[in-house]
Amino acid sequence: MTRIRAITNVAGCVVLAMVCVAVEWSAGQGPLPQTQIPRTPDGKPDLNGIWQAMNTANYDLEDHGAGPSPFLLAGAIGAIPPGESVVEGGRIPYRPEALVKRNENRKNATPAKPGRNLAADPELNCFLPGVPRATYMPHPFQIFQSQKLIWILYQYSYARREIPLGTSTEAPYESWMGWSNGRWEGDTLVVDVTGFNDQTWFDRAGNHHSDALHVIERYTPISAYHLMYEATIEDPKVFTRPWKLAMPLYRRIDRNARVLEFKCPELVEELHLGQYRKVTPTR
Amino acid sequence: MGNRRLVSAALPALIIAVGLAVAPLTAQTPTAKPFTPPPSTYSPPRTPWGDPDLMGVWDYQTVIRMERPKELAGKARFANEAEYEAWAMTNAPNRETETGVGAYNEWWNNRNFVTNLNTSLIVDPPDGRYPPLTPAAEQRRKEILAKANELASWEDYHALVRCIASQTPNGPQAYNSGTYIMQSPGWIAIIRERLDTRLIPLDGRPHVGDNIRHWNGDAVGHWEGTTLVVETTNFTDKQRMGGMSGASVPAGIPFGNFRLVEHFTPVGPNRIEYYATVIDPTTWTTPWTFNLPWERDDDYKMFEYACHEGNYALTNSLRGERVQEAEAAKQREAGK
Repeated sequence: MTRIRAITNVAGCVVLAMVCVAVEWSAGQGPLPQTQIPRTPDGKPDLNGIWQAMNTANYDLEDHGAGPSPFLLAGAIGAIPPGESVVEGGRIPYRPEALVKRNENRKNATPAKPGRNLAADPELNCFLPGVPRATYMPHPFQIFQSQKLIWILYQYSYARREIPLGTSTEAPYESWMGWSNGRWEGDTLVVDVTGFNDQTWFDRAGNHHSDALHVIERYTPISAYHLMYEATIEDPKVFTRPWKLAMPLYRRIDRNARVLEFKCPELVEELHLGQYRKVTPTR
Repeated sequence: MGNRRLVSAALPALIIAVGLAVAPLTAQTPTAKPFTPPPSTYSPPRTPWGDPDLMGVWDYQTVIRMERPKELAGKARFANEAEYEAWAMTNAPNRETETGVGAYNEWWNNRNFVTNLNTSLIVDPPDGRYPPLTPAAEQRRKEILAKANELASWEDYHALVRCIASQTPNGPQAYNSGTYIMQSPGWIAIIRERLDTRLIPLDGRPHVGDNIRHWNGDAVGHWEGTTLVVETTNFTDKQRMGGMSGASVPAGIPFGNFRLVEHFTPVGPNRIEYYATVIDPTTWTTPWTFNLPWERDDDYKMFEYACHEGNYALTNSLRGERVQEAEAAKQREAGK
């Protein structure tokens, strides 16, 4: 059953590929004929599946050329791949003092010595990535959808979001991943996210926000295999105006595609705690 | 000191389970008889694509311990709810909030959530007790216990203290045990409020390769009637059994590679009978099964469990150990 469906899907993709070429990449400008978007029995777009961004936004949302590894010994393995900005208009509209902070963050992104360094990129410490960063980290995520709510389960650490589609509720507390309220606008899933703390960054380049952050995400299927993802960022303490980033998300159709465990708290224990390991005296 | 004891109960040790590769499914131990849960006549609602619909928040707080208490030997079940309630009120740890250490914490806990007439969670072996360990495992257990108080590194703490994982299979826990079941065509997700998400494909695919090891193992599932059957292998050998049911699990049980078979049988709109069968011939002389009823809790709201982000306890505990050692060394020097 599944295999047959998979084969049908692959065949569909070949047909779609020709159509895709003619489609503008920005959401809303030229979606595919509605019949080509998978739908749930209640007629909503079916977002179930494993998705992943394929870009360098997690290195830097803005334009960036290739760069050396922040860790000398990592050589070209750790080098920064180049990428163009995913921000509408190219630049993030920082207030002057917030731009200074961004540049400081950038200098502190990778610490000079071991320990639990809170000035560093939160990803380096395996802290929860926040929104929208969770979307474009170099890890897949899986969407589960019902009529009542959507869960997004990320491979990275224990990042996840419960997104109710009913009546909106106010964030009851401050959190890393924020408080999500979802709704359908036509074929677009709109998620309003508030209640953030000020601890997460948007990327490894130090782009940041305050606890006044308000993110409005839009997930729009543009084929059976692609979602257009847009996030509008509002934070009057840090930016002079709301701004937007956009990127396609790709359905993972690898054989037996699945989200694996990436429990990174374990992977930073030597970094955070190595200095407190018992050293057996040698005599 | 209290913390120290808690940590000790979490079975500190490094278990290097060399050579404990998971047996291929085609070469199961003959003694690993498949556990079959009692059938249910309940017909659950269906998802739009036809699977039994288990979606929602479930919880499994209970005062029933993994093993049957000695005073209840020979009695597998309470006669009725009244007898169960009477036992639960007198035997739950520190339910008396006016006296007793730990009473304050206990007030916040809710271990008596799900009524369970069984006198132990273990239903197989029928005596409600763990089967004997193999001699090799017994030896490992002794070695683990001998080092139980050594807090040389983070690896001597339980995975939960390290904010890595709770445990699969998960037994009763004191708090935050709300668990969301979410479904999509071909998948089921078990989302624990604390740390873990299990993503279980139902499309008949094989397990991941031997070199991929997960704290919660690699799960694949299928439906047998209205029962969800999940088989999990590829566990890391770094997990410890201590977190499985808090103090009710004997200290020092080695917890390495094993095969886990779980049955989730919906028996009513608000109840799933959950059975976990642990098959590990290198550790246990026979497979064993525990039964933990899950109850729907629509009022439970799952919140973010940002554990690692604020985990200063582990830093402070390890640092404290090193400071104490340095002090002790200084005093030894002074006494010379």
